Amino acid sequence: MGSVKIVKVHDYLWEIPKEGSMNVPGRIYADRKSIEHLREEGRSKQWDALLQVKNVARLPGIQNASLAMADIHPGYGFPIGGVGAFDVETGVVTMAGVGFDINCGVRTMIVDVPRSDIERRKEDLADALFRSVPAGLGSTGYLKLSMKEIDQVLRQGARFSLERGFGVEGDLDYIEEGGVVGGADPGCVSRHAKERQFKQVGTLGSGNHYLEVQYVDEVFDRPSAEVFGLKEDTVVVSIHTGSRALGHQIGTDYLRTLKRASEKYGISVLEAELVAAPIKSPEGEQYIAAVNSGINCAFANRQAIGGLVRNVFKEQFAIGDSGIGMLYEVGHNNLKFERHEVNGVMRKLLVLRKGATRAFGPGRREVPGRYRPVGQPVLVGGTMGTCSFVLVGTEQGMDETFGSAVHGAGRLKSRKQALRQYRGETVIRDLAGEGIIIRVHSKRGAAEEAPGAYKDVERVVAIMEGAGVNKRVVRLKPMICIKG
Amino acid sequence: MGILGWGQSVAEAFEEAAAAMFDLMIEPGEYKQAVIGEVACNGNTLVELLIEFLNGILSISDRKEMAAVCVDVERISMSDGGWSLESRVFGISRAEAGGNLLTEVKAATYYGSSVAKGTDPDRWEAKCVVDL
Repeated sequence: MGSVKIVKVHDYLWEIPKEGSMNVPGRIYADRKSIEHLREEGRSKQWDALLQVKNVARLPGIQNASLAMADIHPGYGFPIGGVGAFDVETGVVTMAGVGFDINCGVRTMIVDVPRSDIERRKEDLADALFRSVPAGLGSTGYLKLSMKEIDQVLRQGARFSLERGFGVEGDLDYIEEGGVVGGADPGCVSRHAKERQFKQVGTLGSGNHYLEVQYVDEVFDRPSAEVFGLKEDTVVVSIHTGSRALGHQIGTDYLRTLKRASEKYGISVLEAELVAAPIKSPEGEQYIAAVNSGINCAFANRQAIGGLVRNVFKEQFAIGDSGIGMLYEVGHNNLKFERHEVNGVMRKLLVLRKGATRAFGPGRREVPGRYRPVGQPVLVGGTMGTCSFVLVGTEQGMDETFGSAVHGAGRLKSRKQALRQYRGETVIRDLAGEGIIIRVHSKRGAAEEAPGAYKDVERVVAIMEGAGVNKRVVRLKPMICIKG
Repeated sequence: MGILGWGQSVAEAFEEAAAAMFDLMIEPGEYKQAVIGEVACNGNTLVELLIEFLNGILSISDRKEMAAVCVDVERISMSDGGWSLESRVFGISRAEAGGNLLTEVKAATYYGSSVAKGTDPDRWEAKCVVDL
């Protein structure tokens, strides 16, 4: 461990040269301090994110490079912050490149209420959100679904929740893919996965999932901010969650399927979760159809929660539907068929982003028309005590990273380390002292998610901006944080 | 988060690994338990059996809306096709558990997993990392 050869390309980009069985080099967006931390971590622990970048570079059909964004940390076979793009004819799909929380992502909504009004009624608003949005282990949503309805969720995505009264029609225009992906096949999702989801649509979950009320603290790129409808003190609500238990079960179920496929097709398995199948194999196609179903489930989940949040604001501040609108919604644990230029030729690729956000730059047709001149908003969650960011992709990012960005701060300390170092009550009290209201279902969760357990998100986004891959648009500071 | 269970047999080590996972999900304590259901699974190796077993418990707990607090591994056996396990899971309803519920476990993973005898030849150890 910790013996991966790595060379500096420039101050914010490092390369693992192609050698041995690697099909492409590895490229990591990082500064020297981050690289030293990753090397040290690889030497002292079983977890070696740099080795994981190298292992992904060995997968068949990978194009250009095995990439890691600046929030890189060790994952299950594929580093968190990892991006891999695969040729659809010769490439593979791996469960590790999507993970257990399929289409986990962030929705951010803009609230047309002055920040000062929110500040005045912060406690009441926090209580109302905490009461209204189901969160934490064992929470159940307002929708109680049958097997037939779950299949509809998996095919219809956000529209399923919209048609049951959660949100407004215009929401879908500002969700990645319009809130539904094609290619979903509920028949590829197990009965157990569906049964686990009967009551979980419209629930936040626990762990690092959250709902935050935030305000724009600083504007870095005013033209882009204007296009996004953001300025100093604009209030927003961000929802971070995914496909819940259904996604977890899909991951678990397909570990075995893809393990058998790896053996069948002679794909070397370098880590247990890095099992894979050719994209154009029955097993690969089934897994992709199951993941697409999970992606739609996450869209439905965030749409339902978005509807609940909108109702709370309407009740608390006597605003109409138009008083709380969408900025954008984008996932960060996904697979997607996308068209990118490789060696001067535009090609269809399967792009896996594990803890990495799609960050399409100006001009891409997938970006909503209003945002197309500047690129899509990239929503990057920080910690409950620090800040989050809205970034935008760049043309250089399209060339270098298949249009990708960081997804968050990235953990610095394991949950176990965090529990040893922090107490939930103390974390909540300290943040209250800074004017941040925390509502949690589990105080242990607050300790695990303490701001000190994460990397400095400011440094993470500065690395990406320094590399020219993403640009900061605004920084968001938290006022209220709801956690499971 | 890593979990480790140990015991004088593989079955006992599995039960203890599950108990470690339950401690992440619900405050340890005395609960009036009911049967959640049975988890039967198989694996080519003992590690695969462990991961299937733990994920089976997560799955049945969600489906029955229960919080697992204890498991009884009734049988672990080996045949030409690999290992198989039968167990019975006990717990309480999530509504009843209320404020004692802690963190969701998304899945048991293969990362850092092993099932082997420890330095003490009478002690089996079962460990893995669970995704929270």
